[in-house]
This record gives sequence, C-alpha cells and structure tokens, in this order.
Amino acid sequence: MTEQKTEKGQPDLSRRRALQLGAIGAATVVSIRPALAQTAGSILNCEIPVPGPQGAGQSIAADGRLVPTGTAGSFPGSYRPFKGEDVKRALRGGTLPGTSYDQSQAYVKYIRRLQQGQSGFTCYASLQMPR
Amino acid sequence: MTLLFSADPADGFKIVPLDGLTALYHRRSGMTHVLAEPAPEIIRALAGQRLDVAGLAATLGVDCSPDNASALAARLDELCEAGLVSRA
Repeated sequence: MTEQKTEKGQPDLSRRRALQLGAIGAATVVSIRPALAQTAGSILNCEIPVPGPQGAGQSIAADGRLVPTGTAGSFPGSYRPFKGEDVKRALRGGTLPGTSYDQSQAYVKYIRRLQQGQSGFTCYASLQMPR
Repeated sequence: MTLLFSADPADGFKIVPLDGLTALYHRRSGMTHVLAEPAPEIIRALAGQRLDVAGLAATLGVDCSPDNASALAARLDELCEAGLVSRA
C-alpha cells in the first residue's frame, strides 16, 4: 500500500486515513443472518391461505384449480390459512390439519400451482429450499 | 470517564477478503458480516484489547483529530450494534 506524500516527503496519514475512516452516516457493516435459522423461522411462521385473496369466495377443485362455489367435486376454501410446517408435512404425503384426505390433496395441488405474486407463494417457495 | 472498546480475540473471527470488501464470520454468534474499510482494521486492532478512541486511533496509525475521532466513534457504534465490538 502506498502512502500519499506531502511536499516534505512525509506520509500524510491524517489526510489519507480521514478518507478511509468513512463518512459518519455511511454504513460499513452489513450483517447476514444465518440462512438456516431464517429458513426454519419461515417454515414455522409463514402461512398459506387456501385460497388467497385472488380466489376469495371460490372453491378448490380436485386438481387444485379455483372453481365457482358449488362446482361438483370441489371443496370450499379453508377458513384459516395453513402454517408452513403443516404444508411441508402435507407435501411429504401427510394430510393438512382439519381436512379429509381428498380435500387435503386438492389443497396441496392448489398450493403447488401458486405462482409468484400470489398470496402464499413466498411461503411455499421457502419450503422448497434445501435445509 | 473514558469509554473503552474491545472485540473477541483474533481466533473468535474468520476473516476473508472479498474483492474490495471483507467477509467476517463471528464464531460466538454464528453470524456473518460484510465489512467495508476501516471496519476490519478496527476489529483487528481491538481483538483481545481494551482501547479508547485515542488508543484505537494510535493503533490504526491515524491522528486523533476531531474529524477522525468522530468518524471512529461512528464506526464503533455500528460495530457495537452488530455485536462485533463491545463497550468494555
């Protein structure tokens, strides 16, 4: 590393260092939370509504599509959102709490079809991350 | 009363240069931080030491002018908030 020299040939430490010490309002530290803890927290706390606001009042068909209420073979939406932990279990073959087997299958298909921007998508995506 | 600052001993950190920045893993908290100059130099200077701002300035090789002292105080505040430096 080279020092700036003054006219007398001495290192001008104060000037050079003053620049390096940074401005008072300029942050020099960014903290990264442990990824594992963050993932675990998301899974425990995030929620997926079935259906989300985009399908309010509609039912869930057996293949996971939104259909008008009363459509044969469809299931009414869940009155409360599912926790990420519940969904993770259901994705591994379990049943969502408070649902029948077929109803849970339809809800899981709905969740698998979620796309970016839809309520619950970020939660679903976080369940896919390797741990 | 003069405020003293300290950081964990040098083996409490894993420091890796990343182009112009520095990644620092703090073993005790399990947290990783990305630091810009002069934060890594401050951590190294305070590792296992207890220094006031004037002592820190001397260790870093800067004069303790009012400008430098206030810049160092701002850096120390950030590092304390991140849990990397403590007020001893």
